[in-house]
Amino acid sequence: MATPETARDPLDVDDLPMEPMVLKMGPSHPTMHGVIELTLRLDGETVRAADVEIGYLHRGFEKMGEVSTWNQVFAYADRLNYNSPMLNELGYAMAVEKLMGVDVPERAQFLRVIASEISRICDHLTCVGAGAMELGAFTAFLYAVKAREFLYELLEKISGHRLTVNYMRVGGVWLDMPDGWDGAVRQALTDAAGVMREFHKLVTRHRIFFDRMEGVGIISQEDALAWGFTGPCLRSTGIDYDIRKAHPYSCYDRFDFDIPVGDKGDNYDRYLIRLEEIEQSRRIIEQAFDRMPGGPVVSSDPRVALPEKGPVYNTIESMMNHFKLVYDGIRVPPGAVYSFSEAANGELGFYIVADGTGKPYRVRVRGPVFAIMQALPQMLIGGMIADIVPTFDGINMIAGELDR
Amino acid sequence: MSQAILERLKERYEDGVVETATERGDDCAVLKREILVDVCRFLKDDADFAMNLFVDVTAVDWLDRRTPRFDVVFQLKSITKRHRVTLKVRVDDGDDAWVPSVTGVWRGADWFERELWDMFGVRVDGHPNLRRILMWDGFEGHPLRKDYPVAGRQPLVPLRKSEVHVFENNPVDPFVVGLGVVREKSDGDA
Amino acid sequence: MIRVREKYGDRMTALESSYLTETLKGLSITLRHFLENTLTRKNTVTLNYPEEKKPYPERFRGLHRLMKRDDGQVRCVACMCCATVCPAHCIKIEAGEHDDHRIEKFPIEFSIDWLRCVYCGLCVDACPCDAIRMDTGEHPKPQIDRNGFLTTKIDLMKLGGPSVAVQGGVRPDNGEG
Repeated sequence: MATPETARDPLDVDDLPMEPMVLKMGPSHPTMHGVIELTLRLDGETVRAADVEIGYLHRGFEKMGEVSTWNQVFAYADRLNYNSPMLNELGYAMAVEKLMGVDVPERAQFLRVIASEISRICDHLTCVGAGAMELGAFTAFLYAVKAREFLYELLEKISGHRLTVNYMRVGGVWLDMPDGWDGAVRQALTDAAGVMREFHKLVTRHRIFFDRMEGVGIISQEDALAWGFTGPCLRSTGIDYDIRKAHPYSCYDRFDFDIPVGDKGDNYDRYLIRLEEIEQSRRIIEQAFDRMPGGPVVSSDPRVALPEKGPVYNTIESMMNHFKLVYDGIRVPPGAVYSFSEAANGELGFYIVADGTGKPYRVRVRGPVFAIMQALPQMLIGGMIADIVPTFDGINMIAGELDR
Repeated sequence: MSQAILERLKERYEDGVVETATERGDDCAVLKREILVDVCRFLKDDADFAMNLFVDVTAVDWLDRRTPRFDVVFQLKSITKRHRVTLKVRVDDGDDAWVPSVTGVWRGADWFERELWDMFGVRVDGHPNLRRILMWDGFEGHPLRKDYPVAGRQPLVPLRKSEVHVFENNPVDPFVVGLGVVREKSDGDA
Repeated sequence: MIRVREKYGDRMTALESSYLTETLKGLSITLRHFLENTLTRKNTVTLNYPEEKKPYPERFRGLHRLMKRDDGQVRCVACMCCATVCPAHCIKIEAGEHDDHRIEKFPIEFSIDWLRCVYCGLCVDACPCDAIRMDTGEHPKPQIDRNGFLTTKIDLMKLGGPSVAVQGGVRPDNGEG
């Protein structure tokens, strides 16, 4: 029986006519640190359905790779996950070396590990810092950026640039570390640790921060595996899977470090894991400096390494080798390999196909974030609009490696 | 360990496995398209192999070099057993360019298969939502095919008007999405 | 394996959930920074740019420069190595015949588009005669229009100096030509 309009209780919320609202978030939204578009269906403030639209930063990395020489791809690989360029370069270099069967000198391996771990710390600092900022803790963000700045300066000292480092080469690294760099790294890490202690005091146990991270964006172990999660997001569900331990590459098997894992698979777990991984990376770097061997930093294999400048200036043999490497590029024998490494957000895979010429036939990147972003709707549905921001940050989406 | 996977697959599927190869430590089995989903399910559910992580699917375009034209390459991995395997399916151009979807085995294959369709034009049969993912709707051709020019240009996308959005994961009722003030298309827009 | 919840704490203690202690702790940190940074600039990391500038490190890859021979001519022999290896295709070289038969080739025009350049440094590695370097320690200045970034040989040579690299087929065994 229909009630007459006048008889309705004005305070009875259930009786109000309600219809879900559709909200577009992104691609350029102040809290979206990365260009993606979320379409949300809201019931009040609760997210009932969500869609993710990606591709806004697609630059055709894989197509460009097919028209570049093997060494030129490094410049593009830098820009995949632009927070941690060294890790991308390491992944790509390892793939090419695996296909060619090139041995990398010990010292180069150590330098690679150190540079990569510095990059990993930078990436995690960006993630936790931006996460705090998006919840309103701007001071904490500035502290994280300050700590990151110390590390960027180290990368600048060794590679020449802060972000677009282009430091690694097939068969080794560009140059040996400059004099006094090891001391500078230890000093910077100590300084950064000091700053991070303050950061930690500011946010980790603060109730506003805790309440907004704890129990938000939960994903179960089974779901995480089914969606293809790797990296901190997988570890937050309690699986201790880290490629550095499970399939040790480069020289990671020689270092002693622990894998942090979470219990609930929520944002707070992911945040704590990143915080702890910063500590573990610091341990790796310190061990690496303690055990750093001497020797060359690039393979002496004439197929990959540019000869030294002295002989190039003065002998015809080296000059010819130099010209062949520059004009034809490194000639990689025909074949295909899949090589993978632990990047800051999970498994970074390179599937490369060579046809025997100086250019890759196909370069495929498996960005870790690509798999994780598929599950974003699942992590958002049922939560509040305000929870989108911390969940989105916990994934640490980097559009560069998502859209490639 | 991964060698054992290849042996077991050959034993179990006989003719279905076209060839197996081990190249630089990567174990690879080339399969017939018909058994792909079955093999995937077997590898995932078998306790010895437990391929619980879907890593990647991509294709390689062998235009004018090989027939059939495309290699569709799957990377699978077991987190518990710490081993992995590569599966390949060879498909040709045109009507033959399709593979069955493995989203029923691993949900995580969803976007990867959309990307496969988007970039190579290899259709994925049985995929719940086979749309373009990195390119926009209305993009012509498939950019990672070898016959797509590197400097290829496409017309700009027209300004979007109000559109009906059908939610992927909850497609019960479509909603009209208002984008605020919608500008009429003027002559200056491409 | 470290369980992060065990290490960093799982639940809020009664004190922590009262907001008060944590907020005071946070305020004490920011207040200390405020006082430190207003009274002394010892621990300040920011600079008063552009009055104060931080020097770039030695390896910084900045603007290119073209090196010169002893007599002030350009060292470049227009071998096109740098233009070939450049991932951004930002180097354009127009080669010409040199009167001196020992030099043979030289660049009539050598231009770099600093807007296209990605500062990867591959051109420096690829140069077989120490003609191009990126060690000026400067970054591109803002310009009014795009053409301002298209740099010519003359400008690149202004930035350059004489190179002391020894070249010219010195035999490595006895050091004689």
